[in-house]
Amino acid sequence: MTTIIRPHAETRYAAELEALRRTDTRKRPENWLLSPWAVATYLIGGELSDGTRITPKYIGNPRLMEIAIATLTTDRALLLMGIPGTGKTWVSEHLAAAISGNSKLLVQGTAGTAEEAIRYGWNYASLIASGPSPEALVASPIMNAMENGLVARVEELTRIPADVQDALITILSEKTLPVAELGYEIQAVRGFNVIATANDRDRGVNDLSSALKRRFNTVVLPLPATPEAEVTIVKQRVRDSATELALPQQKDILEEIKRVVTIFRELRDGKTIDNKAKVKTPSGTLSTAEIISVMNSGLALTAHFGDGVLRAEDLAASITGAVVKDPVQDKVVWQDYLETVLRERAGWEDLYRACRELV
Amino acid sequence: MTVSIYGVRHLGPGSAANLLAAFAATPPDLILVEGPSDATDQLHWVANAALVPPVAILAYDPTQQYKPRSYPFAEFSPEWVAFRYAAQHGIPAQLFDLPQKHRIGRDHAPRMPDQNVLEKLANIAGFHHYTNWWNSAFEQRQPDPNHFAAVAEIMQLTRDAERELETPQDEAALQSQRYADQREAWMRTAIRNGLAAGHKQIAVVCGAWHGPALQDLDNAAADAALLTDMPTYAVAFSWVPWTYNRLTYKAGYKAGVIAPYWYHHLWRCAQDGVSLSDQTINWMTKTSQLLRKHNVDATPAHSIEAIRLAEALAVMRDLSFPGLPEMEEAAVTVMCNGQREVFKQLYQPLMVGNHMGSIPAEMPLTPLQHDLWAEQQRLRLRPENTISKLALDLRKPLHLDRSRLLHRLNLLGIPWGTPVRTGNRFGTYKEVWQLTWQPSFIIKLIENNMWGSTIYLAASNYATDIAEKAGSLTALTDLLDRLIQADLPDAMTHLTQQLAATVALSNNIPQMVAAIPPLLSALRYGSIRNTERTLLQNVVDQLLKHSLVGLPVIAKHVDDAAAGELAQTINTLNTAINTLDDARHNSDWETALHKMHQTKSLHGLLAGRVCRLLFDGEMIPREDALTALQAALSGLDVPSILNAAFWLEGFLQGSGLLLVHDDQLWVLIDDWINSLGNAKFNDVVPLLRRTFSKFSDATKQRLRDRSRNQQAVLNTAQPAQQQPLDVLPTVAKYLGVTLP
Repeated sequence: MTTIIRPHAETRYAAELEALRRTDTRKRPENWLLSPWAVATYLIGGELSDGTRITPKYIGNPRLMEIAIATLTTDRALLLMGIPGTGKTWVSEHLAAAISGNSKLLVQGTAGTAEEAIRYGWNYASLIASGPSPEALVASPIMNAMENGLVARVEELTRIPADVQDALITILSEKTLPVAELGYEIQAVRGFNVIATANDRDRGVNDLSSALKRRFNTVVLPLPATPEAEVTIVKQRVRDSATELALPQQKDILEEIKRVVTIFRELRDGKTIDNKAKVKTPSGTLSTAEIISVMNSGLALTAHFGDGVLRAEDLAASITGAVVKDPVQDKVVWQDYLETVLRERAGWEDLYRACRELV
Repeated sequence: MTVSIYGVRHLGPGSAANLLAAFAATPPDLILVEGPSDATDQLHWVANAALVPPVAILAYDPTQQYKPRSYPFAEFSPEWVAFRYAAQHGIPAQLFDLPQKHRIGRDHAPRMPDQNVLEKLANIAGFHHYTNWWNSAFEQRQPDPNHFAAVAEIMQLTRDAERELETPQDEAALQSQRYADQREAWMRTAIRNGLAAGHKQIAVVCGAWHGPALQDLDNAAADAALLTDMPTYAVAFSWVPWTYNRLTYKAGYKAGVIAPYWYHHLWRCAQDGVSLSDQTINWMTKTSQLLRKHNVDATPAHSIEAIRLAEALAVMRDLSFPGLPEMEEAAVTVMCNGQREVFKQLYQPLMVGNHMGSIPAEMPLTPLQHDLWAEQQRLRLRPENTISKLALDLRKPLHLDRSRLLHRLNLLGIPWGTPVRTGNRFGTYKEVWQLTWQPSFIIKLIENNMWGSTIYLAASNYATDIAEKAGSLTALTDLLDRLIQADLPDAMTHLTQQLAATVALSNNIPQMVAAIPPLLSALRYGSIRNTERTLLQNVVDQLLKHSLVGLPVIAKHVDDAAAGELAQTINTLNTAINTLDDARHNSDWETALHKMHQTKSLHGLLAGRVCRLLFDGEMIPREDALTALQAALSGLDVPSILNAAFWLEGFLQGSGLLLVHDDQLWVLIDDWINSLGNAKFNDVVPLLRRTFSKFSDATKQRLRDRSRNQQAVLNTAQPAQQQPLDVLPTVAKYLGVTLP
């Protein structure tokens, strides 16, 4: 039997969704499979009245999920923003799965995304053979969602060229999609809405026009709030990929993870973990995803070139690479941090020396 | 004979509205309000229309031994509403809590309700925070006849739950418990006295927490026993103007709230008969108007969407109306593109409000006026509306105190004295002031009561506040100077902490370095407590560390003007480091200098300066310095020659005597100038002139002599030996000896 690498959310968590549907007694908006409260439970996790355990899909501030769900009950679309690695796509997929039972109505935004992907295209063979007809029309995921009252998803909205983005305006404000060639229009059925994701740091790429911005409610997904949560997430993911790549498992990399998380958080938050001193912030994002990659490359170095023990030297290069993105400004920030924070920290001399040598 | 107990939250608009409704239903003939009973005399001022909230009753110790306590009221405070009702209906109102004469000097606080129990209660109700739950349950509702019964029941539950908690029974905890019990015993006694005086319908307005404890009035003897053996202090009261800012937790008011203006809004709407759902609309419209002022495109369409979202959120959270968190989240999501930072700009106008209270002009002296009057007597300084001069010798204690008073008043925005000639900031003992007293100072003085009851306290608290708001390093160092002169050690603590935080974030190295000398002077000459001394020393350390790391990087690729500034920075740093003479800084400085010395693209001025400092500090051998000079002077195209001239300027900055004494140096420069030829010489003359014109006349004289007589190189040393001899007769005369 072949195994799907990554099943869709509605497949993977079918049992949970089914249990929620069974126990959900509260009012459901039209064409929603679950009530807003049940959707919230699906994302935040909890225990149902029949004893089913719902695993948390989003670990973080539950109020953000409430805002996202409440937005989808109004007629505004939802825009999830955040730096890479904060779980935007993950949340959008689960929201669509919980609300519509279908997370597959997806438009992947790229620089090459064309208007057809958002509106509709044509089956050219039948277009040429029999002229424009409803049969020759190829519906986009969004058109599909409009007709059936489902949630459509647009990934990386800001990567889509501005003129193509504008195709969304009529859809979101009028809730209609005119098909000029056939002289009719598709009118969205209740339950239709759009969840888009966009990357904070790439805002400059194809910034949303203010007309389009006005159709979206924006929820910014932040980085993990506490060092403990972040260490847990990193540990989980690093352990996962270590098995995938068949890296020899480290007995105790937790200490090293803690140190790297500390450095990244301090630089990101602009203050030391004990709140006693402020530090300058470099230009890079320093996301949890980057910590994971630093740890992974450190482990790879150790496994393939070192003696199997994760040392400061193995981490120093990738830490420096992650922090110093701008060769002039970030370098000063990093040196500053090394001299004023790391140098003073007892037990961190190895990391200080290893990093210092590289600057 | 009935006693109605109305448990309220201080600063609760819903509590206030319910209180009015309850008064209307059962009109009281005596109103007892939580507050120190010895301040009851102050309540007659409430009838005066010129007493406009926010105001506070200030309890202070006339001998200034103990810290003052304040009881602030806003127009939506239930207490204030009760006072007003009593004044309008001619009913006696009394404050009935333990008097401040038994409290002000105690150094422990009465036990407060356990926050965990309250939070747990809120969690059971499905809320994350107690305040949100209380707001939604009691403050943001239409008045309800069962309101106070519900409050009493919940508080009874909470008190019961708390009794079951394991609380530490150490001496301090017992003292706090006894204090809290004494307060409630006093309140019960006051109710009994009210009943004994024949009142038929007594309304008791107290913090909800105390409500259940005031129900049972039977055990008078036990209360009397509790109320013995209490310390007694001298205490005086005064109304003082207050602000909404100082009603917030942030301003350090323990019973404060997060958003006074939100409550103000709820209260005003309720008073004007605006329905609860329209309150949401009014608030969101105000939000979008304010956002527009901050250049955020917030249109009425946005408001509509935001209100819808807020209501959808309220539904999801099982609230009957959106509360402040829902309003805030909706505004952030719809109007600010999810950016909380944008919304935070509205914190002051939308959450806190800029309201400031006032007090009647005919009110007796406020504590601050009193204190100033006492200080004026003590320091023999009379407030006069004419211009007069006052010269102070700061070595005399009286004069020093006068100077401090004037500096403190200046900080508080009362420029009674203007410094006329301050001369060298730390060097001189003399200070000259020009004094003029303006009648308008009184108003400013009364306003300043909110900062403290003495000039010292007020100045100290006010300075702390500006220190926290001051953003830039320069603003902070300027303030430091003023604080040292005004001698305010408490404010200094905050300022130094603020300085430390700002230094860490600063990128402007010249500015950072410029901040060092005043700090060093403060360390050496200012009267600073030891804790601040350590802190300040840390700040200087941080400044030096940051500057030394950054200097070699920013020194690359600078233009002539920036190079001039940086040369100054380097000089300042050098002086500071020499003054401190700390091993670590010395070695870091040496590293930084070497790094710059090895940078090829360094501006000539800086390269010259760095080379000279290295040479003077014997950090490079003389030969290296000469090699560097030779290299700098080696180019023959115009940019190189200009650079060489800059290099010389940098190298010779400060002192040109080196030229007189070092033959090899002289020869190198001489050869270089001879090699230039007329046209190129004309190019560098302005630069060279700038360098040489800064030397002292004596140096210039000797350089001239030397260049006139190249051969007499050795003779040039002689005047240097002769000069000291010339002064010998004079010295001898002073010493009264005869020279051989």
